[in-house]
Amino acid sequence: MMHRRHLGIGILFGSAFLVINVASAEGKRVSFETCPIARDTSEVLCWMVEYQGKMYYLGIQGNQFADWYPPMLRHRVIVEDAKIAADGNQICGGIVLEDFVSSPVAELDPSCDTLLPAEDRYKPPAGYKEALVKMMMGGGPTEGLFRHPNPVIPPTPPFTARSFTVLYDFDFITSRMRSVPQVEAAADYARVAKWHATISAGRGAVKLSDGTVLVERDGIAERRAESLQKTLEALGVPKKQIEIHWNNTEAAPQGFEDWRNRSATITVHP
Amino acid sequence: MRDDVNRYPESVSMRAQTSPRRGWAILFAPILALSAVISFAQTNNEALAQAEKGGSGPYAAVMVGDPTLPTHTIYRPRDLNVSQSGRLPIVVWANGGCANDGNRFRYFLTEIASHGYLVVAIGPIGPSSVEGPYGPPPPATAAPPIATQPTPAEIAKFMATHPPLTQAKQLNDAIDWAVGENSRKAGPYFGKLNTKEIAVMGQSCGGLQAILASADPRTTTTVIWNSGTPPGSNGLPGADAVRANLADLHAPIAYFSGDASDIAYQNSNEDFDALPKIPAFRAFEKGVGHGGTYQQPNGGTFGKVAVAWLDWQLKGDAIAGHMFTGADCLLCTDPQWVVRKRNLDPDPSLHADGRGANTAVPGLGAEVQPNGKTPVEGSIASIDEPHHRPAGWIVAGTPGVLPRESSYADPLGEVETLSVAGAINRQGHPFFTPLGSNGRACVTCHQPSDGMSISAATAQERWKASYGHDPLFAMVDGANCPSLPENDPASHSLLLDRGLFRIALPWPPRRPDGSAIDPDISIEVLRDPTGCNTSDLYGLHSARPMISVYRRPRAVGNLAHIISDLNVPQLPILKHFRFTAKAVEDPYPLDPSTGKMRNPNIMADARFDDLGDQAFDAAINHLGAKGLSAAQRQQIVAFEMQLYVAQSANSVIGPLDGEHGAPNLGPGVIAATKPMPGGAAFGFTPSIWADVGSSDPQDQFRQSVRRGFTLFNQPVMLRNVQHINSVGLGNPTKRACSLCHTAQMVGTDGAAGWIDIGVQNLPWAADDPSLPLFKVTCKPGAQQHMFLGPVIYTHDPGRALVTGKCFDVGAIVAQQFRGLAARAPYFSNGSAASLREVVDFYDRRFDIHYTDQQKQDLVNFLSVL
Repeated sequence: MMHRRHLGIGILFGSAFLVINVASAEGKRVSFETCPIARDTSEVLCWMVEYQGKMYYLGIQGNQFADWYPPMLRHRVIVEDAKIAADGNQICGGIVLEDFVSSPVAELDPSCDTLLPAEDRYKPPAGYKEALVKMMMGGGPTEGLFRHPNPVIPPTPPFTARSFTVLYDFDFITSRMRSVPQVEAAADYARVAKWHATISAGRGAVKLSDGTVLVERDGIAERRAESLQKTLEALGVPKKQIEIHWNNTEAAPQGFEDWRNRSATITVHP
Repeated sequence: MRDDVNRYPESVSMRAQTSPRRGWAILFAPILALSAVISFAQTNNEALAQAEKGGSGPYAAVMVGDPTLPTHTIYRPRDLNVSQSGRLPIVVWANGGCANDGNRFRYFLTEIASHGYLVVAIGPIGPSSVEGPYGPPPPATAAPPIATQPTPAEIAKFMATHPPLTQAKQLNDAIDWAVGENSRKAGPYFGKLNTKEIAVMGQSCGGLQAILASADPRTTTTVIWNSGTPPGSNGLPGADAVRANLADLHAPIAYFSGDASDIAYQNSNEDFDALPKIPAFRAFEKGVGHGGTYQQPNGGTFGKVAVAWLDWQLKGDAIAGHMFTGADCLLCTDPQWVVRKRNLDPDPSLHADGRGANTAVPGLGAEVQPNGKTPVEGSIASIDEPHHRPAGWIVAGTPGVLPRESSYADPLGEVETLSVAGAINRQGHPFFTPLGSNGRACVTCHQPSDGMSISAATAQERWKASYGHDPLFAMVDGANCPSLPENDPASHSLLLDRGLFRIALPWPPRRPDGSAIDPDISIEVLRDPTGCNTSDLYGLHSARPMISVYRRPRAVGNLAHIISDLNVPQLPILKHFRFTAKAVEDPYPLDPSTGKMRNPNIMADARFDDLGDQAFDAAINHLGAKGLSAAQRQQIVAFEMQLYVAQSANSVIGPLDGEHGAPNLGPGVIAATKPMPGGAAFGFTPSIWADVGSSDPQDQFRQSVRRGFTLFNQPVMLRNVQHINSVGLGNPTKRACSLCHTAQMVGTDGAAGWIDIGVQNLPWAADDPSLPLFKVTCKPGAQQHMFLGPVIYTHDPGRALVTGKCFDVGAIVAQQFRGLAARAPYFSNGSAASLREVVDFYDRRFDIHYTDQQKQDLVNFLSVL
């Protein structure tokens, strides 16, 4: 079960407050949890959310190295720090949300299962194909399809203590593909420098715009630390060089960039 | 050279009767036998009736002329769409007396054709009076004594008035014609002939022509009937074969004749001794003269022998080959026959018990009857039963060659293997040789004729043929559980019905170093129809806890593509698939020798990513061996990495060889293409068949295949698939089949390919009461299967049996798409009996709502790969 903690503002009142807030202050940031909605088009899927009676557009399906991953039906989604498009721009029938972080919630929720059929009036964003190609091609055709956005560069001396941050989705132990380069870089650095790698994993909490606080499950920080330890070992870092710490006390949510607390840090040091 | 068997009785020495004139005499043989013909032809109504009926084989044959080859006579199945046996091998025939009557051996040749051959005989159809010129074997006392053979003067006189009317070259002409007809789109034989399997045969004078014509490199086998070369020239234009010509022979050869009364008896013997180092068989039938048994109904005994030899040599039918192979071969044990052979049998030293390798198979063919008794020696009839002829079956340890290219009939056309390194001598090769205690070799479960896997239909045929004694049914994994009664089909029901083998894996799983993995799931056996998972000896709670699951053997072909390098500069994403939710805690290991990620798509659960490791494990667990030597391991891997397999012909449109407007889909194009983990195209191009539009069935089929290929690349809503929808693509994601079946030529996953498509896990998999059912519960805190949650009901936990991970439960590595028609049923648990059921599964699974036509289009597309 997801752990929720309600802070001072109640849901009912908070929602009412936020409706006003969203409606009157486009461009401000909102965070909320809801069921995602997939809308079919003649080409690709558009991902939407309904929030306080309005439909919002998150993005289209992409690849595993995209900056943004589409949600999953059968799971709720947490949208954090979303900025509502100032111009009220709509795509696929939804108001565009910008600069947000979204995370699926690990717990199953079969009620989140809305797939809207394609309608002629709803189109994916203009130029999406070019954007997809750009995303896939990275620096250009010579680098090929699916170029990794953060290629790992072999470390060279002189070495200095460095930290690498691994981000997680809500209640997830496994990191997403986009964090892989950080883990690889940390392992390479520790291995080449023959330095220690200290893993510090945390447990996150999210403060939503309605005041609701969502807290990750107990024990997840420990699991994240242990999982990363196994990964570093598999990547060639000797076990004796790895130290793990975790803090199962959730980080205090601030209502902005709380997603940063769903993380682990690998510090490579002498 | 070594005679494996020499059963010549001292009283019938093959060297006893040497005559300098015997080379000439062969031309006279028809004349010497003529008197017998005249008297016998009156009473040969039965033989004629059998020929009119079309022979005794499964395909009633006809004798016809053909305006495109007026100099020859054709014998062929009446219905050329021989769906069961695929394309027809070719037999070219030269008559006794070098006669120019194509119907002279009608009964014998009709019989051969009725077993699924195209026979092209020299000469047009002559008067019916010439049919069956050789009478029944005359009494021994009536045999023309050698002393009465013609003198040189008599021969010269005869030659002056009776020059041979035919030429050896006409046999080669016959081959040219058949090969050409196979490619002639407007002709009746288009795509219906197997131009890679060609026998050259002849009788008496025609045998000499056959020897000359067999220098043709297209010759697969040569059969000489009542004939042999003289030491020096016989001066016969068109048939002037001499002993020196034997050096030009390259294919397996057989000499069959009558006994010493046969005028060609001695030449046959001496030819056999003078042959180059090729597989050779020599046999004669006692009490039979130069006329053989050709005029008897269906060609008599010689007809049966001919069919068996051709089935073995041209169709790879090892059961038929048992007439000739092994110390106890059927002819070897028939008191009517005397046999010699060379280079046909394996080295007996391969077996500790001293048996010939091929005879190490208990109960094969006619050796054991259902009543457990040994059949009558030399019983030939038993192997003529169709169910004793699973085409192409290779018995572990039998001698022979896997040709560079081998084609085999399958239910939808023809599958072909290509051994790029050339023909493989099976003898002693570890892939083909039993290496352990149960008589199995790798080939037992990876048969070329089954697309290098094995179909359930073949398993059933083997059961019938061997009465359950074939090593295929070894109790260790060929039975539902080793503890069940042997030789009871019910004990092997999963193999017989679904082509499934038992895979027993330790629980908890172990790392390569043997240490136990602490799994984040617990497994409970809810249903155990095989009894193995609850067995005190083999079960989950036994002293060595094991979980038994049941899986199809994967095709051992195109492996150079299946395990292609994932470190492709153009696709750098691939090497990162060692991470993600698939393996974040246990990143897929790197190859210590290269520091790169290996392609893990060899096995259903990816438990080995090295072919040598897989072979070693299979030798122990499937063959009952103690392991493999380094040399054996290397030899198996080398063989597997150069072997390609694919459908090469379709029963509707013929060859898929890049000609006749067809795409080049066969194994050759796979071998010629650099392995690439992406861009699934299989040799299709956008323009292929774009211009076919007629309503004839062949064009209709081509259009359907093209539509199927389009559908394969057309997005559908892929949803609720662990390791697809859970790895950042979203759920659902609108993608095509080729998202996962992406490897350019074989359709495997271009990345680490284990996913839970829903074949094993309920509710997407239908609950099958014949399979075990497990309840898998994820431990608190474990990363769950994203779409099934913490409790999963499954027939096979799949990859989770290797990793112990909840999110891997039911995940199975995607399989390749090549040679599908030859190896039903499909999916890892054989749950789809046909390609249509495969398509139906996906249609249900992803709620696609394909029309019937679209389903058929996809089936047709898959059927030609």
